[in-house]
Amino acid sequence: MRQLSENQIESIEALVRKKGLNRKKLLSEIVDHVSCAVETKLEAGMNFPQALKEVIAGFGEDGIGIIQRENNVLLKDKRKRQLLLSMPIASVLMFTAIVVNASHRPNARPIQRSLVAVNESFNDNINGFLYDVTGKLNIYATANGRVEKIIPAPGKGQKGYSVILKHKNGYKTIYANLQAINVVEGEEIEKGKTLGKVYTLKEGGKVFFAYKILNLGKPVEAHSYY
Amino acid sequence: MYNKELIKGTLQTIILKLLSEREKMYGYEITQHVRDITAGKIILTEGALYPSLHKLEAEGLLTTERVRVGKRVRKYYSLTQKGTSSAELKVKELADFFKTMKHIITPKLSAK
Repeated sequence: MRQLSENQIESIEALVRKKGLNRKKLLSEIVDHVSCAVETKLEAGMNFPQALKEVIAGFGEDGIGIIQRENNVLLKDKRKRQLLLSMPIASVLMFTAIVVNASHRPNARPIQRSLVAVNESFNDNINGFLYDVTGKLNIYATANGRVEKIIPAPGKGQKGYSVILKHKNGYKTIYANLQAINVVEGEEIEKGKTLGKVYTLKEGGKVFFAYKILNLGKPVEAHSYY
Repeated sequence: MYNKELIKGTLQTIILKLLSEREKMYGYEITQHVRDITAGKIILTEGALYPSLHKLEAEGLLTTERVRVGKRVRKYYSLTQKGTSSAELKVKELADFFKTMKHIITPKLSAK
């Protein structure tokens, strides 16, 4: 069998490329095919240009381009299948991310579940949640974080403390009007930890407890944080 | 030469059957072999053969190896285990199809 020269193979490759096939692995396969067919014709006594012309014509109109286009479709399907396979993994990751994230994102439940804020105001100086409390109820941290500050009530004759927690992702929470503080400044705490009790003047007295969520320093309308 | 559509529906079976008889083949070899054993009545076009080979490869019925031949790289195809069982099934199915077709094509003498 007559072997083609390097130049002849290169001219075959150039022609196949010109006909619309350029992906490397496909190219080498089709160049080999055309070369084989050309060699057979040379063996039968035909000259190279004529042999090449006939072989390429034998592919039919756009017969070369279609090989790559069909291959493109296969690759696309393969990618789609891989994507579908990876989706359950991705959703598990996403779920984990949400759960992990959730423990850092404050909710609006600093106090026992049955108590609903009597006032959720974001316009006046409360800018948060106000609970009408009877008795010395426990107040809980609404997210993982660190105790940033414990501030005594500022006014004369006022008692009790405010606790400020710092959380990840720019969140802070403020719990006002507490007593019997259970935590110290700088302490790392987990969501659900008891911070202290609502301050009451006398046993059975009715008081308010105020709670605020700040995100990057701004009060958050936290309906979605329940 | 037969109608393109007739060959299209049986091309995968042709490929699988040939490869079940030989250990490995490359594209050009398949076209030549088919032409020879059918006395030139079936000519596989490259535009049909290669997409079929690639599809069978993607489906895991064929596996490939590349061998350097002089200055070129030749891609050989061979059956995987999955391809071997698929070849048997498809050949059986096609034989059965021929039998069924016969009922349609051959006029029944008893029908009248």
